[in-house]
Amino acid sequence: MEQQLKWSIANIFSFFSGLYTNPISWHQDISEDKWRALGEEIFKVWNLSFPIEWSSVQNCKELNKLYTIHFSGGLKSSVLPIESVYKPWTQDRSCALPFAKSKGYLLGDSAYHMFYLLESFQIELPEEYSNTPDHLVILLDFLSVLYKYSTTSFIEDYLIHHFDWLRDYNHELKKHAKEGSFYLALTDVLVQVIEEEKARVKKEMELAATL
Amino acid sequence: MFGFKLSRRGFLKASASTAALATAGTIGFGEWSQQFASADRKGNLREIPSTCNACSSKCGMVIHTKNGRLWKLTGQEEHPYSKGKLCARGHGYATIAYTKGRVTEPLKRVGDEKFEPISWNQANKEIADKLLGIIKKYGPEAISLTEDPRASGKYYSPRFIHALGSNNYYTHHVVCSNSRDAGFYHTVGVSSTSADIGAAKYIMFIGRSYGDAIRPSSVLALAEAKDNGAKIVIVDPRLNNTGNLATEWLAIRPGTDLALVLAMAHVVIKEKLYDVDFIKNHTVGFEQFASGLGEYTPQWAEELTGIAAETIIRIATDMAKAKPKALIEQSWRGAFGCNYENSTETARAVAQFNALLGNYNKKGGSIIPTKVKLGHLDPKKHPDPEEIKTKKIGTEEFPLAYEEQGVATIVASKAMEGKMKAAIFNHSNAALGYGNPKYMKEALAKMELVVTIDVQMSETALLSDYVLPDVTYIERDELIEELSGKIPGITLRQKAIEKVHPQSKPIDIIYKELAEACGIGQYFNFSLDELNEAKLKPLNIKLNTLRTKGTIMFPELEMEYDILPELKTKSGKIEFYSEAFKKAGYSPVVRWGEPKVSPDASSFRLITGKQAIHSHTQTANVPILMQITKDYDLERVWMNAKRAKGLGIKDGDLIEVISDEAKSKVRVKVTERIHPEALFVPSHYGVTSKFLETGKDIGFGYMEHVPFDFEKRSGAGMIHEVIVKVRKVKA
Repeated sequence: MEQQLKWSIANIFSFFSGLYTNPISWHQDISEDKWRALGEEIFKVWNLSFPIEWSSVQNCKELNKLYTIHFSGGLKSSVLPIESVYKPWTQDRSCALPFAKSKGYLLGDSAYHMFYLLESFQIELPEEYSNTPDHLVILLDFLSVLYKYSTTSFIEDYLIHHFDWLRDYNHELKKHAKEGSFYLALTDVLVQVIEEEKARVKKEMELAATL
Repeated sequence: MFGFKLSRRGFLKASASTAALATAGTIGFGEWSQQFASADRKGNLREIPSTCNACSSKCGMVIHTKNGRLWKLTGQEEHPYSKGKLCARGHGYATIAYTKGRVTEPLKRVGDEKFEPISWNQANKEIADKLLGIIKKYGPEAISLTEDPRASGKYYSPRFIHALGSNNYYTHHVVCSNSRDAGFYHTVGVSSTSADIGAAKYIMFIGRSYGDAIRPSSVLALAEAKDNGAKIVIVDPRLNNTGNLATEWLAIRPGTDLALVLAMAHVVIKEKLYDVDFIKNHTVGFEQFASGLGEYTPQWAEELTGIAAETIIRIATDMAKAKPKALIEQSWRGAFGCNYENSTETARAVAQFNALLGNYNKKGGSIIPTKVKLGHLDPKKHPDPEEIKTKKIGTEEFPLAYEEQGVATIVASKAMEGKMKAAIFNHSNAALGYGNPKYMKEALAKMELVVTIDVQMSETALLSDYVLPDVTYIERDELIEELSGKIPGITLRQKAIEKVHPQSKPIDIIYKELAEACGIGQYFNFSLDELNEAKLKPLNIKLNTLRTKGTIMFPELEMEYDILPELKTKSGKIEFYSEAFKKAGYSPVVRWGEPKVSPDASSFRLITGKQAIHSHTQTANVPILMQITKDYDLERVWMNAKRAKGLGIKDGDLIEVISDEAKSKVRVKVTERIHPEALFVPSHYGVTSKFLETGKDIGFGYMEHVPFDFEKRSGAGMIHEVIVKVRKVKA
């Protein structure tokens, strides 16, 4: 993968990661130009349209309200973007807990794999995500790190194993979010981007194998 | 090139060289998960002795973790309640730590059932400002704190409210055992005895079901008694799940247990089958009691209870012949914990009947529990809050109620009168479970400040101005818990996993920080470890030793059979005649009293009870426990087969339950196992909080139908004083 493309993709995923954090932390840095640039970059890399209007990002108060509704644990309409919740809790056959194979729980195997990966890369988790390393914010930011510093084969494995839950998440979000809401639109785009990127990386790996 | 970033904090920072090395040496998910699963080979297994929180028994459990995560649960062998076993509820409830519906950060109400996260500092500041403002304006008697107590709560909660100058500390017992506790306290000087079940030869349970409110050691002891040939009689309008260990079921007419016990006392005294020496040496008022029993004949009781006079005579006689290894089990909520207008009198009668059998502190009888003496913090370094001169609200209205627990629902009634202005609820869903929810909602709305400390958005949390996120019980250390019984002991709840949600906090920290915000931090200038060490000092036990063992029993302090210590009653003896009752304006000896309401031929009495897989409504949002409910249709109401036939209702039909307070729709279980007058609804359902998606809209909450009221002696909620009608409805 050419370096320029890798850095471009890294920046896009880093940007997506930021959009899933509290809008108060990033809203002051955004502008219409930047928003347009994001759409153009997504189109350039994956030939995907970016249908989220600048107007839906402009109002920080409104965004914060939506963020609170969807991402604050314990509130009605909370749809936590955390990988463990959408996967069987553990593959460990020796685990004697009655919910071991059930979905819907935090700190599943995927979280522990993320702990392992982050530790291997000597990356420290911020306090607010200290026990949710498989939160979408962290998954995307780590993906961005991989594009900057890691191999395509590593990226492929990571994409396959840590983003296979996004469609389920999006489906759940659709049950709670109003049509056209920012986070629903954002996740729609992200799902497409991840699928396209998986396909692109797969093709690149296949091509590399033939050389 | 896409040449910009959001200038937020860079979450993840990695260097190129580290990443390159990591990439080379890091395995993918597939290989990793195999290694992770076999991590026990690397010594990543830990066993942490702790205590369960799935119900109030708090059995000893061992939390096994693997790689820092919950992996297995077993019962602690040394703990007297678990004896190496855990019930299904215990296994299921631990999952709450990892469920997605927890409260994860402090919340402030911003509209009807609408909340926004705020920082701890802001929450503490705002709560403190409001509490201090209310105290300044209305006095400290206008604030209150209510909880379903656990070890830390029992210490920290009253200390916090006392430090603010208020005596208004209350517990959940108003809908649990207030009547039993008042009756027992004024008769034998303790709010509850225990029972030497394993060695008993004749056991009567009134409304109590070991098979439904499981404490493993209780079930084991009952099985032991049965193996030893004990007679086991269940007195219950419903054939409960202790039935398979019972020798006889008396399907008593609900609300008439008092008549049964009085008639049994009548038989025992008339036939001179009571323990004469015990009565002479250890009781007062026997003559007054005996002289008042003349009218309470078995024939009289048969009319009221529906139990044949011959059966009453036979059982009373056989129990007396088996004395002192015979007893009426003391119960908790059962049939007289908080159920009827006559429940406190039933409790007194039960305690007194056990005295007739002379079974107190006898092998196979009732046991006055013993405790160890724990230490205290150095008062010079850690002063206690000043003694409060004003009385706890409710003690004037209900002088017979067990004062330590109080009458929690007085908070709501005083709020309605405009006299209670602030309420803090810790580990308590009072709005759904303590009193009629409509009334509770209205009362809470009238207060200027309501704060809830909980792990989930309960109905009470929904009505609160602030919700503070507690950690779950497997994420926290607690204060040492005393175990009272034949052999006393101590046990410790310990943190087994790191907290899942960084912003959640244990209550010792919540109170400490809130106290500092309120300017009373000097009363919380110690750590939990320092407090635990002070508690252990007189026992010469190190905290680390207790941490390793989990539970320490003191067999050298075992109560001695056949020795009855001086009791904490006014007379120091078991009281058949109570000056306290007389002073409060009630008959000093137990007299029959009708329940407050009674059904007619077209109606039912709504009764409730427990199921072994749930605890109140606190477990209703736990998916794997609620799934059992769904799989077996456990939320259905029970209706007697003959009554159902008369109403044209078949098993599984949808019916509407109608009372003066509410209408509820639910499916019906038609069975011979219930008295025709009773309609039984399990007490765990009817969650209405829209935040608790797993539990919401399954079954109905019996409290919706219970009028807000107080039993006049103990202040209990009289949860069975409810008349309902039913009608079949189309699905």
